[in-house]
Amino acid sequence: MKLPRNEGLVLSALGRLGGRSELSQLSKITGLPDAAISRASLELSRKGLLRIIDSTVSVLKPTEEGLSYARDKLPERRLVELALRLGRRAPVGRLAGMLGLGDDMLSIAIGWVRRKGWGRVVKEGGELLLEVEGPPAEGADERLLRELADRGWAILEELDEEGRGAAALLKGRSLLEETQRSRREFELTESGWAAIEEGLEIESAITALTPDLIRSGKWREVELREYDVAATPPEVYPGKKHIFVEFLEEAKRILLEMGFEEYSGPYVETEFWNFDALFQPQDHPSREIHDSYIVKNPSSGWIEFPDLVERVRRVHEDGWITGSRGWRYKWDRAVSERLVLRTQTTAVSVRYLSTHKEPPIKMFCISNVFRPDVLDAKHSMEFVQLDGIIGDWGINLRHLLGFLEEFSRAIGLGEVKFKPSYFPFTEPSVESFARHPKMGWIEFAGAGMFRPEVLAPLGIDFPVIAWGIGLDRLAMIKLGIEDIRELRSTRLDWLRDRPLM
Amino acid sequence: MPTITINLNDLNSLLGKRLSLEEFREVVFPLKCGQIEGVIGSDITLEVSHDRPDLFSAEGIARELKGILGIETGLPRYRLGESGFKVFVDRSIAPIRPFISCAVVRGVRLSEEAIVQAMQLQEKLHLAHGRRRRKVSIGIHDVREIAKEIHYSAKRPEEIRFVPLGEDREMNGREILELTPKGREYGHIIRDFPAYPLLYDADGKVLSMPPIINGVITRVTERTEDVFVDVTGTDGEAVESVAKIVATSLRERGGELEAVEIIGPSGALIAPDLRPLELNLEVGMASRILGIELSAESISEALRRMRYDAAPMGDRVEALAPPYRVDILHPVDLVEDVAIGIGYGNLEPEPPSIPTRGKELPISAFSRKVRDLMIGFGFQEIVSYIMTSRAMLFDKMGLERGEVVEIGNPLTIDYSVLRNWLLPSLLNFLSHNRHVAYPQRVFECGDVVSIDMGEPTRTRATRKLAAVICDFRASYEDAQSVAYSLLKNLGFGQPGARRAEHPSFIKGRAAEILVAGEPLGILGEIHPGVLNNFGLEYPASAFELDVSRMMELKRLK
Repeated sequence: MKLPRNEGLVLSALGRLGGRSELSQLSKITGLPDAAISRASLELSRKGLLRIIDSTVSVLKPTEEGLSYARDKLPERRLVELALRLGRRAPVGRLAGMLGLGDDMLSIAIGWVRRKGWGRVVKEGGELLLEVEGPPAEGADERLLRELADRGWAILEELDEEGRGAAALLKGRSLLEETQRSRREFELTESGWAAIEEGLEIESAITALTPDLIRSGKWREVELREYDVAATPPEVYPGKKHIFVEFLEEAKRILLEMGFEEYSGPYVETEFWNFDALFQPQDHPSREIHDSYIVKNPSSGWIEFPDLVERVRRVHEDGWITGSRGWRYKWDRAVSERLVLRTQTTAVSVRYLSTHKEPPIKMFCISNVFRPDVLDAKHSMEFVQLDGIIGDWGINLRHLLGFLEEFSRAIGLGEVKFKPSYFPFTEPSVESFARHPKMGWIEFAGAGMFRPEVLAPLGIDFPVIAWGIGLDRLAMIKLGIEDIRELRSTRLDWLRDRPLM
Repeated sequence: MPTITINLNDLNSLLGKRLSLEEFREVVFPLKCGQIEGVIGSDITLEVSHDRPDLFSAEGIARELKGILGIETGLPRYRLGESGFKVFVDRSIAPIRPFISCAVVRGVRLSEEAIVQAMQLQEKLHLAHGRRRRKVSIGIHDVREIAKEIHYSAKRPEEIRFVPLGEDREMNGREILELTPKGREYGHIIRDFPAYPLLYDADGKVLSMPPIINGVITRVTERTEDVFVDVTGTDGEAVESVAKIVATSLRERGGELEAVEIIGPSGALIAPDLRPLELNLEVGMASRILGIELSAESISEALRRMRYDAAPMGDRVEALAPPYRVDILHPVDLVEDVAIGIGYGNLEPEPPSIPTRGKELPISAFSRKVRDLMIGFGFQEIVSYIMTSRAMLFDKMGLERGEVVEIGNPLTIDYSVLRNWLLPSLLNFLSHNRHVAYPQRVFECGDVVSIDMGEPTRTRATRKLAAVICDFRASYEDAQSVAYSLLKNLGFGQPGARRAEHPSFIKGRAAEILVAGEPLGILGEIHPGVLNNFGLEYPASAFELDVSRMMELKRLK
């Protein structure tokens, strides 16, 4: 079986350790850091090659005193060994003196000599003598103490019966202490053994490619561990452009490519530019409070071009020189100076024409307009409109239809069809529909040719075609959004999760 | 646009031809009433253009379709007989509702559908052209019980006594305004006058109290044979136009149109005035506008389909427009009718080929660079409304209320002013996302509007950029480093900062951002009080920069 390096090392070490071991041993044998062994063993357990067994064990550790006895031997042994050197029989007082044992320690040592049957104490002429036979074999307690001193610890449950007895003894003498801890062991499964028998092929794979490996060229000797490439990564959120702004930028890009000049105008607009210059009579329903936001502060502005104001007045009242009958009412300058929130970006088109009178003219504006509405899924008091105009000698209605067809395709909709419509400032007026691949015919743009009553006061004597498109609705269709509020969504997770396309 | 509902069977009987729904859909599409909004059984709801009030009923649509289908082309002929009715207009009405026009249609048979259509026409005309009855209102009456001498004058409310339509007892003028549904709806139009308009006959029987309600005595039913129409209002021409439309529409159901003599303080006239409007159209003009080669003959033919009388006269066409066509102001209006007569679908679209170079506004190009950099810093772009509230701009931001652009007729206080800075929009955004994964880094690049009395519109729009960082920890430095890097990447060199006192930010942790000594915006840690106001539980640091001014500085260099 072929395994990554660490996994192979752990598995074979476990085999060598008899099929069951814990982290520290594995670490010693494999030379791997604990974390690497943990990772590898988790991986191996996932593969069914080993089992992870968690349990609680008693850890034995020598006390200070225990350690000193491990170094200097137990006092009873030192007593017996000295007695041996002094001819198997020596006065206790002299032995204690030579070993430097205090009275307390001496009596403890003598007590253990007796209990271990290493010698006997006899009284001769008022003096206590220690008699020994020969050197006693190493006791289980001494062996355990030595091991503890060597390794620093032992696991009670791993000791044999004799060892457990010795541990109890040493514990009683306060030479070791016992603490509880949880233990993780690793045990080979049947398949683990089978894999070892079958032979392990060790990849010398590592996880992280370090600058050191790269610099030293050691990367040639190692193999980079293969990852679970299908695992789910943690979530990250990019800095991301807003989908609606991107849609507006796309519309703008198309128009720039078509050779249009971008233009802008004020959000707060005089009624003059928003309505009067567009030949909307002053009592037109769309000028009522139901259909436009009136600005209270500031409440009125002024018009930059007095001559234009006069011509617009005439054209409303009697048609001026245009051949029109006009709207036949008394035009009020004060009304035209009132301020409203722009209801249509057509106001920007007319502003443009007031200062750009040389054909050819190709202009567009993409910006916010405002109409009284309560914000809900289908209505908004503020939305983005695209208005555009083309003016030149020879421009006609068929060019308008042609432009709308071209723009529809560019924005990703299909063929277009047209029907008559009405706007106070255009004649002929056109409503255009574009075919959406799924939704069928959708209303696309309102359009028309500016009326002479609009153009003549501006001093424009060539024809101008104009159109307006509500970009919110179009964006909703293009982006598959059903609630207009989502175009200005306040939900961060929605914006984060929403694909750009 | 107004919508109306007609019944296909009724329309077919007016047409004298059976159209299936599909056929109807096809023939009506190229007209100004061609947008079908819905179909329930044989009831069809259509959208009709504002400018064609004559199409606000099945009768008008049938009349138009007859031309397009070739059933009957050219000018509809209206013979105007004598009704014998005389309406005396009293001087007292002059300051209130001075204009009246009338008509009689005799021998008309009104089916249930005809009555529905007449009411709908009345209703739609009231809305669109009557300015909700203020400018024009219409009454339709059965005059079998009414004397031929009718008076139109102003009467004091207490003097007025009649049973209004829909009520079961006599009421005075004031009661009508206060107690009837129509009185409550339209009473405001006349309430402030000492006297109300009243239309009554020589015997004192009341036809109506314009523009509020009719008397029950002249109620129109399916048994009605002779119909009397009154149209009153404040605009003589609009009153006359509406009278023409109502009278000619009723006439489509059969019967005879008859005139009413209106006798006023300054003379008498005959109503309705059904003389056609005479117009001339140059062939060249129509051809230029439509972009097709037209002849006087082809124009005439198209106009006849649109119910004009039209005769080719060399390089022009002499046309007579039907009296109900109250929308015609200029020969271009005829050109549109020529186009409709030909069919918009028969005009070949031709993409204009005018070679010009696209030109973006400098602020657009500059804003894109700013946005690109903010994206690069890992910020999510957001878009919010320019309309907002004082609470958002000032109160929640810990600021004293200042002057902002204020709407006179807001529908809700939440959208009653225009924003003069962006940061409140961003904090408002964060307040909706308290349980969304942090860190939250968002920005908006958009316009704010401030008052500037030196401008013709007394206001000035400025492009701004605002960004906010909200996280478990969000320091002054976090926002500062982004703002500085942004400015450096836009070529402004190393920016500076000058300590600022700003109640929206923590004291000692707010600064003006300086470029060459000029403040371009504000930067700082949002004040915990402000965080509380927005319900935010994590700290936030933010900055707002004047993008318009930044662009100006770049252009000056």
